[in-house]
Amino acid sequence: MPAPPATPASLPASLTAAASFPRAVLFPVFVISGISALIYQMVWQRMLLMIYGSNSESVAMVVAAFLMGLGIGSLLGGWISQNEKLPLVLFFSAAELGVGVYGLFSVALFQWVGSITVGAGSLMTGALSFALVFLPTLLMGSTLPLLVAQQVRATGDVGDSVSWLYFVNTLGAAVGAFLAAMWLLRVTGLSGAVQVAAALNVLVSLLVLVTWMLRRRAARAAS
Amino acid sequence: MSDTSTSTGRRLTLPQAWLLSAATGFLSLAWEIVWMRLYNFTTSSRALAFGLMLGAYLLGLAVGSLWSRKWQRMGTEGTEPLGTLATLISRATLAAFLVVPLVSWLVMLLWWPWTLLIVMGAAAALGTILPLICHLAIPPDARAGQRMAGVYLANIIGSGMGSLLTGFVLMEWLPLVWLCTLLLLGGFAIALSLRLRAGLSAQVYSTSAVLLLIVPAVALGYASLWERLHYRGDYTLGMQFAKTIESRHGVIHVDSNGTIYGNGAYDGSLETILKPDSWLVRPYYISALHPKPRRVLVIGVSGGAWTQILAHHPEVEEVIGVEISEPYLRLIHDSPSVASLHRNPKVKLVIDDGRRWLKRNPTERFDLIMMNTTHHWREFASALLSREFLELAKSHLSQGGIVAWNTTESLRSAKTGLVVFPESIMLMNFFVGSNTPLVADKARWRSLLERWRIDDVPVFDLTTEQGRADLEKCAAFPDYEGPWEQTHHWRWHNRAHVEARVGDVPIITDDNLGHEFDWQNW
Repeated sequence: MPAPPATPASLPASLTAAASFPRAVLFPVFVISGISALIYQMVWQRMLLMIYGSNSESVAMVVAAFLMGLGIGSLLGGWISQNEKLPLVLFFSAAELGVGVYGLFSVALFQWVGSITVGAGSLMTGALSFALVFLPTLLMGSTLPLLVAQQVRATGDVGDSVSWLYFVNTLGAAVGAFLAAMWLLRVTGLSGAVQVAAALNVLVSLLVLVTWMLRRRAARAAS
Repeated sequence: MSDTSTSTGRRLTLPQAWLLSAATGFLSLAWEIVWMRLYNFTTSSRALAFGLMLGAYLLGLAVGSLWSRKWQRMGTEGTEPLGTLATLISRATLAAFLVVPLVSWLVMLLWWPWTLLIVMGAAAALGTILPLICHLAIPPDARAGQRMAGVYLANIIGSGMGSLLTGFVLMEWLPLVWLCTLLLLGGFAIALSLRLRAGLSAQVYSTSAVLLLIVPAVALGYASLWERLHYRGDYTLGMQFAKTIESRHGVIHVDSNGTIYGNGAYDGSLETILKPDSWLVRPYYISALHPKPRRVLVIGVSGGAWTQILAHHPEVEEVIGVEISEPYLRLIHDSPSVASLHRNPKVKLVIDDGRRWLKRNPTERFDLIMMNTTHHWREFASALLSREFLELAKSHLSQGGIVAWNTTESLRSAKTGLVVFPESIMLMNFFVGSNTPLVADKARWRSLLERWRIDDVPVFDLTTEQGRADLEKCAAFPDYEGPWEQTHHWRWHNRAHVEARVGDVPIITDDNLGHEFDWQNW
């Protein structure tokens, strides 16, 4: 027997209540999150290739390192999202804060690691690149499944949730790529660009946190 | 991804969704790598091209993701959703396949950034797929996030494989036209298997027939691809490069005059014999500034002409040539004027990144480090022009050693040289820096030119009137010093003239990336 079409009404009331978070805030902050992610990608990729060589082997290793982090992060986000009682947007807020804090120190960290691992071979280059980008890409990768789960709780529509969230996040990534290429890297250089990206992460984190707290306070007052 | 269950009525099981997500992720990233190659060549590796291409691609994916909602409204029941998904994959693949030939024709008429709209369109078609897969495979329950993570992970794994396999393996073995054809067939194979799964055999036959008609017709669009992209408005029918080497490192062309182009940008020539007024005086004259340049490091061997010249300097005992792109060694092997580099016991050719090679060999010292650096506006150019890199090169100099590089008319590059080296001259567009004063000894220079032979052929044939006249003109080069404003290229400038010319322009650093993202370099 085919399953009935899912709607928010068919989900447990606890889920829809927990999921209550305005798209008017969530979508713009996920755009900003995408912007900062692409700025990091362009800067970190450049820095790693400066450190470990810009030959095609290094490029392949660095790309693989980014994707591995994002992939594992995706699993982490999916795993966290199973818990129906957790306010998933708070995890998103924490992930953004984590990325931002890491971003602030990333240039100095990359330079330091680069200086003590000068003679690394191709495989070691991959391992070091992976180690350097693992934490932030893990956090970045977790955000989409977290927010999809949050949105499905609210709307009961997987395709629509994925479409919108993928749209806003990738739109942000596109804006980040244009912004970095056409203005940011020329004006601020690599270190300035990651500072801008980190500031965006912190802004996203705070906006989500404040919105969530205001809504919780309003809900309590109403009850 | 341990959960393989799905609710009844979903048109795709989770394992099928993983497989589809990985396969289409593979195709998406493979196409992105192809388009990167396309724009890298079209723009002669401008750094801006990477960012703009990436932005256009991502914007396309974003639009496609939203566009996908149109097909999600049909629900998840019956054969129609799978047939629709198959159609979307076919359309996206065909659109992606058309990008390369369309761009190659349009750049003859339009400014290249406009052609990114085509990339955006094809990426939008690709972007419709993932959300629809999620829609067809994931029920909207409490585990939607976890299941979505599995599909997303599969997509990332497929994307990673697409990026690595295409950029690292397929591009090494297949010319672009065959690679694109392979990806087209791959996309259609995925769509056909979906149709078979849905029991839409009739569509399978019709799609196959369309494919048989389309592929040969569109493959024609790839003919003379590189010539169109390189010559653009100046392209005429029948133009053809004398030699083309495609590999994972990029595309190398040699035209009928022996001029080399690396990824669409001028990359030197195969000429080694010095003539009056020739730009080739630079490798000859730089070595003349050092009384006995026994050990020479060449960073960026390219076609090998300069390495060949330096390896035959009468005083040079050892030359190490570091080249990042292996196919140049193949070009050298096949080019008579430089082929002996592979047999010359004084010469060692190494495939590596120049900066990395210097860092990995901290105890190596050289009398001359020579870099015929590429255009200052190209991607990664600042990695060889920055203060940090020049400091690194300086630390590898022997007493009295010289570092010389092509500023390609960048005042910022010259200014950086002034900051790093206490002694310097500009030799045409080359900056020559050292820790000790640079003095040209006219008698030594003349003596060198008289003795210089390449593969046992004298640079100046002193048995002929023409050879003796050429020698006299070239031997007078040390006299051609003057302020920058004297525009004839056959000239050098002292440090004071260089300082006056560059003024207070900013230097190039690893952090500020020099000219790479300058607006005027579009």
